[in-house]
Amino acid sequence: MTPVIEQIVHKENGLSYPSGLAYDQEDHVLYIVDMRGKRVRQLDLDRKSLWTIRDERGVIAFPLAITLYKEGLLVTDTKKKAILQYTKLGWRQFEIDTGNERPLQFPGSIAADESGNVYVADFTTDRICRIDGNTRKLTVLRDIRCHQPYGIFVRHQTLYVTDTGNKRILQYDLRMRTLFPYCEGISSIAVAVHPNGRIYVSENRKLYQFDPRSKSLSLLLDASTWKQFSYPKLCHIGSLCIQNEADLIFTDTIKNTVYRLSLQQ
Amino acid sequence: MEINKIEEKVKQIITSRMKDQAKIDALQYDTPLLSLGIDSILALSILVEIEEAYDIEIDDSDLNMDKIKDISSFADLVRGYLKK
Repeated sequence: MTPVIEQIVHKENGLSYPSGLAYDQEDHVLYIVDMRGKRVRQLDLDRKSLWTIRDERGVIAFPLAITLYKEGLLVTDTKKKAILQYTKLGWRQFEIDTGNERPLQFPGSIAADESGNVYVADFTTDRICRIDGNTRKLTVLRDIRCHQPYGIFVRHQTLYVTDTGNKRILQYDLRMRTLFPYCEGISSIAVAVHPNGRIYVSENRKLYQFDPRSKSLSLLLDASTWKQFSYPKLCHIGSLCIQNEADLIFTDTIKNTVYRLSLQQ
Repeated sequence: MEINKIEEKVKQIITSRMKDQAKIDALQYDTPLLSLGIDSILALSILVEIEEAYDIEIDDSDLNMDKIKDISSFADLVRGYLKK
């Protein structure tokens, strides 16, 4: 079946390696990390207008991933080896109490749960870190043994990590502390989980849907399917987010474009 | 030499993205790309340009920094696909 794909941000919109996505369901706004543009852009999906979130003090150095957080945003900055927070007061560093743990070295991806706890995949140290929403204390989730964790997602006290170095996805139950590997053999990059529990995973040029109940893996998109569209060549699905029950949004980081894939066909 | 034609093309694409003339002059086929500040995303974008130059499509399983760590490994990868 031919997927239905719409290009929602074009190369001409001036993105420079869009590497992260976060969707605000309430305001219908898509936040896009414009990595080499050193900024975060905001796409109003109703009005179809694209803005840049101002950074007058030049706090952002090299942004990579993003998540919604309380009434603002959190963005990982790999040059600063830090997390940046955006609120109505502007951008500032998100202070963390690392205690005896090594500080973040390469915060590649980030997610926040309903309680305000933050989860970060520290790519070069093979660590998944939890930052407590109240105390800001960083703890390493040592049960999650991984190598080069690239993407992270949290939903209902369950973490999903793309264990890129080991070519698999990890599902970790934060309460039970149980770990399940899925999708072995996939050089996974980004991950997002639909409200129905289905897991969406990208490789550079492929997009998969995995159902953890039936353990079935479906290939939704690859270079061959892509040729049916008149869009620029598909190069690197660097980030994913679920827009609503029906749609998945993804970036092609190399081609500076953002697409929407309809999940209901 | 014909054998180096691919290496030279790869080098040309890489140096077109570099600004540091000293690094360009010092660039050898086995110079690690990371040492030039070329991270995985930049390396991928260079690979895409090479794909378009040679009209090939590299498989996802080959798109990793272990296989594209310097000009030689880039060229070996391209050579492998040209033979297919």
